[in-house]
Amino acid sequence: MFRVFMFLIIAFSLHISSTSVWSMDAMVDNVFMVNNTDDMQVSFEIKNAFTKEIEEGIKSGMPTSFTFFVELYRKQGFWVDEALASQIFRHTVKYDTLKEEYEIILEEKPQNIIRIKDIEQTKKIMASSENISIKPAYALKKGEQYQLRIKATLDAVNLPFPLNYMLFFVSFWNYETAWYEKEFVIQ
Amino acid sequence: MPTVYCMPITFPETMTESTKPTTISTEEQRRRKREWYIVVAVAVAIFVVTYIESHISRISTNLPAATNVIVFGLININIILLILLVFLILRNFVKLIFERRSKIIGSRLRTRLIVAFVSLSIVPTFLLFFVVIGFINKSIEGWFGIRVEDSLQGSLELGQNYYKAISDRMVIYAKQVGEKLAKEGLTNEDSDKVRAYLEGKLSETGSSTIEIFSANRDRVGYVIGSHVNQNMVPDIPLESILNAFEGNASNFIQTLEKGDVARGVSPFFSNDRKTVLGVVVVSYYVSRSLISKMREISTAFESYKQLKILKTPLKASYFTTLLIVTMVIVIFAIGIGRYMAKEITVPIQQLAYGTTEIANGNLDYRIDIEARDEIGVLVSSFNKMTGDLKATKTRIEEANLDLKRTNTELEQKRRYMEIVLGNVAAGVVSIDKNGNITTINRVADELLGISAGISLGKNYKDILRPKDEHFFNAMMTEMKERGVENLERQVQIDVKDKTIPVLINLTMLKGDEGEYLGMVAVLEDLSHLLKSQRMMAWKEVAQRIAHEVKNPLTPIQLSAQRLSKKYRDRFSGEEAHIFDECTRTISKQVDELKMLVNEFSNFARMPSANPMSNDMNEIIREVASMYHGHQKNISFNFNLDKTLPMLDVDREQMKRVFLNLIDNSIESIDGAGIITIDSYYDKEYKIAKIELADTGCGIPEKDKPRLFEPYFSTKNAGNGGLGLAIVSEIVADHRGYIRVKNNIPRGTRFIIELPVKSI
Repeated sequence: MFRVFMFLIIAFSLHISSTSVWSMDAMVDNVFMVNNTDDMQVSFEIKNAFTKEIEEGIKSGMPTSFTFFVELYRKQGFWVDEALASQIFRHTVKYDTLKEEYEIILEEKPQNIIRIKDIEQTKKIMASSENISIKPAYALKKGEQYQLRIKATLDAVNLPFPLNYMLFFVSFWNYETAWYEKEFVIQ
Repeated sequence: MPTVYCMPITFPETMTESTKPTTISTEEQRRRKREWYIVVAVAVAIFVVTYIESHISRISTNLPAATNVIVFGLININIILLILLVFLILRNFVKLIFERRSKIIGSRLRTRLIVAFVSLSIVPTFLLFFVVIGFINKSIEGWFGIRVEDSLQGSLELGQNYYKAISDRMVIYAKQVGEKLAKEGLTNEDSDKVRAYLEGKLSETGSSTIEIFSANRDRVGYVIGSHVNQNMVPDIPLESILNAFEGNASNFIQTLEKGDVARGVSPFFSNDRKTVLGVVVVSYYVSRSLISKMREISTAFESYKQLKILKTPLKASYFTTLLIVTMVIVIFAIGIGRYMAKEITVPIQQLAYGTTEIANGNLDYRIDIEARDEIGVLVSSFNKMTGDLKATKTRIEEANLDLKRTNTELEQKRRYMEIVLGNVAAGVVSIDKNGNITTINRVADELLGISAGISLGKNYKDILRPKDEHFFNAMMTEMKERGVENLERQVQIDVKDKTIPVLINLTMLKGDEGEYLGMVAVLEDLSHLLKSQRMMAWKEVAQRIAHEVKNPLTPIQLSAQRLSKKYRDRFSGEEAHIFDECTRTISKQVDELKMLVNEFSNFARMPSANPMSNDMNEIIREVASMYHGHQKNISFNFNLDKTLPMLDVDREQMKRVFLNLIDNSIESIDGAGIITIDSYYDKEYKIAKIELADTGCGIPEKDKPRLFEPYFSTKNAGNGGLGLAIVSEIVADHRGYIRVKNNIPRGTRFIIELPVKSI
């Protein structure tokens, strides 16, 4: 029995390890917070978001997305932190090979499709989020300790069917940053 | 999932509980339980892995969650079961190798079968695998060939150039219109002239719209083609106009819902080219049908590029898929191989095991395998054979038991007969019809002078002494001549150094049907009978002598005394002397005769022994003390055993025995001599032995056999030769035995043996 369980554990580990590869470089940086009466605005950017493979994939016309997770918690000592607000939004880029321009959709800014020809500018827009409004359940109180958590994931390049199943183990474009965590107290 | 079991079979000396075919052994139950654990564990693992993957994986976010779960579940089931199969197969292979090394019956055949199955499946499967891989590789390489890429690139560039050309044309048209307006000075007026010009230009260039913006950013001129409307070509973004007012001409493609619009924006300047007088915008609507065609080209190119990026993973994916299929085929082949091998080898193992069991004597062994093929027939035949063997064995055992019982009875009878024969006083000899001795007892051995135990089975002619053989032959001849079946003769037989009278009774043995079976001879030692008859005769003689002789003795003696008294005086001188001597002689001889008669009388009327518990050593000392001081030249030595137990003897008679023996010894010693009396106790035979030895003249060998007979004497003894006869009689009355031997270096040695628990 021991050998059977060992074998299952090894098989499971091998299988799991093949489904997600973490980018070691990408990280959330340059985080700025502005606390208003009704909401809180957060700006940040992802450093080293684009790898060579991702860039090549984008240039070949693959739609690529970053999903950003912004969460706000109230610290409660030893107790579980209270979730006050969370925001999930996505940046998607698609290269139009015909017009040789990048089409960027920023989910947090609807009705605004950005078309630019410069890759560097595209990368900058894709990796940056500015003035993201987070509306907590109630107004933040002075003197209390809060925590802001930010994470970004590069969603897998959406492969056409049946490649998405055939290449289920091809995961070198997938990554997610570690959670950026910042604790603060309202003055 | 084919589960392959490999049960190592070893062959114990006897069948154990675990190998009994009709019951499920504890080992089997344990194994089944373990398999259930594995099944449950695998199911749980598949569930857990699927759950985790469907949550952590972002590959197929555009698909429903249920689809993801199903797909991942299937993938996981495949992978885990595949690995499990590989594990089981490998494990069984390892077991097979160990079985082979352990030389377990059936392992060689099983290995051979599996190798055959695997070879048959692996070779074509892998051949096919490599061929297909080659084809796939070639096909994929063909997809991404330079020609395809070039043509797609060319098509795409065509579309790109189309857009570029339109854009470029639009900006040129805009410049042309601007220069014309600046040259004609039609800058700020929306006159008909301008409009006419713009319409003319519109139709000339085939553009969709031409717009003129004045220096204060107002649109002062606008013409639109008849093939489009304002929805198709909306207003230009303000940024482009503002950019143009800064002196920059530009062109771009504006993507709209209803189609694309190529825009050319150009400022026109004053004569000194320092002031921007206005901006001309020429737009061209690209129809949706045209766009879709170009979009198809670009999509194809994008797909191509994406696939090119995924070329290696795609190959790997195909390779993996093929490999999995190949492995599944191989594993199933191995599984089927093992199953088939098991189907063949297990019955063979069972048969081999069964033969071993039967060889070890376990005839209850049955092979519990149900098969309808030839192996089933073999198994059935084996079981039938085992059953028949057992039935036969049971019958043989029963017969054997009967035989043993009969044999035991016969042996008991034989032993009883032996005991009877061994204890009868007569000698018994039987011979078969060939003359071979079939029965002979101890007495017969002694009488015929045959060493004990060597005569059985031998012919009597080879065993018997010539003289004895002559007796038997003569008797048989006589029986034959007279036609009798039984004959009795008394013969003299030499036993050791003496000749004894023996009565031989020879009887012919016949079977139930009267056939001759042999002879049986009964030999009876008559010496004791004759001796006792002689003794009785002697006693009667003695009694009659005593009676007849004693009566006249007293008158003779009285007459002699009367003669002496009455007529003595009548003689004188020589005559008187003769007369005295004669009367004295008569009187003396009468006394001696009286004494002799008394002895005879005593011998004849010797009382029976009255044994009581007595110390034999004390009796010996008491008798010896009577001679103390009387025989100065004769010395007595005593070696008496203190452990000698009390004996049941008649004290007076025993004293008489020793008196007679000592008298004999004294008489045999001429001059000085030694009389030695020894006693000792033989614990083994429970016999008290008393030896009386003297250094006298000894007894000649020829006299020894008759030494203990009455009136036999080597000298002119006063007791008429009855002393040793009396001794022998007394010892015999005490169930003892007396014999005489020569004493070393000289003299005689009498040995008396008395039973310790006599009477």
